[in-house]
Amino acid sequence: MKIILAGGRRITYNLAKLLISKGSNLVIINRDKRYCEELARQIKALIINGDASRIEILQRAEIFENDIVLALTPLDEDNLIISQLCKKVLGVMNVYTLVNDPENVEVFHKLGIENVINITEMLSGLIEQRVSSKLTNIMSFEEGKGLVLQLSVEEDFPANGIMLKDLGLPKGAIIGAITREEELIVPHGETVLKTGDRLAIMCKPSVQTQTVKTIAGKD
Amino acid sequence: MAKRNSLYIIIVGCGRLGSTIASNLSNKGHSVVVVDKVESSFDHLTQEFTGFSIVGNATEIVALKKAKIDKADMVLALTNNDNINYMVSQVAKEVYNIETVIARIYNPDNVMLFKQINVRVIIPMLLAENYFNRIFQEIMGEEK
Repeated sequence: MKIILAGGRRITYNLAKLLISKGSNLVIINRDKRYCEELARQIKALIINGDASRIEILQRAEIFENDIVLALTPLDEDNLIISQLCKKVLGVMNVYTLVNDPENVEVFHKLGIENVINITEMLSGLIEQRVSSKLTNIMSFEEGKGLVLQLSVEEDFPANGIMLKDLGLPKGAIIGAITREEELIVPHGETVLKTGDRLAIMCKPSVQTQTVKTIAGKD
Repeated sequence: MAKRNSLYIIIVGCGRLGSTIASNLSNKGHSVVVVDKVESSFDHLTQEFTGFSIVGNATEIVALKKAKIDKADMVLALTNNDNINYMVSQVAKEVYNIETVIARIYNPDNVMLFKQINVRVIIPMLLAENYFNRIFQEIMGEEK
């Protein structure tokens, strides 16, 4: 099984280094000749200079059905056609498509592209994490439809000393686990929150702000 | 659809081909909307054109929504970029179920992708080749 990285610059280089260190067999396709030469000097992979949105270039990579393809160009229309050629013509099962315009995520789903990497939303999630200081960690799953937030209860939080059933979390948010003095508790309605509790909260992105507000107060 | 004499047609790409077709269809009484990301490309339209023009990138769904793609009878993807034409065609066909979608493609390599989704294609290279063959045959015929 090999991994094909189609298009992209910095992200391709760094991803390639990471994947090779894990022992993957890589093929990189890029239409910029100089960039290909640069990659060839630094990376041990098959490097093909050409436009990955053309079937004849993809065929040169000898892609098989169980290979993994990542479409990483900065243009959504190019990533769409690369993905469709791989899926519909070459029969590749695992295709991952970078979507630059978040509005295209839904469109791509409707067009049969299941594995969408929504880079803009990932970045904005990271920024939100920095901005709201009380969150220690944030992770999204199911392509951003769900979030896991991590939050430590501080003394002045409105949630401190409150029983979970009285907390009034918004619909679409649930406290999945509490770490209290190294011990993991799976909470129920009667569990009382204490200072120092580390909460793992699952929620929908739409109620993220309200959830944090309910537990931590203003922020 | 064939019986209606006025259609709502969206044309993406207002270069020489897009603008000529837009002006023609508008002159024939159809409602035409042209979409192009460069405003000055609308200068190509002739005075016969009485439709609307929208500045926008057709690979951003907002531009197509602004053109009311859900109401269109026909979508023509005529930009000079095959990949954009494919994306516009597939969105028109599979998201908005537009019956007639026609695309211009420069590189016949990827033509099977268009055909798979029932998009009709115009391939200038093949048209030119056919025309050349016709002229060539005529010449050869005369010499016999």
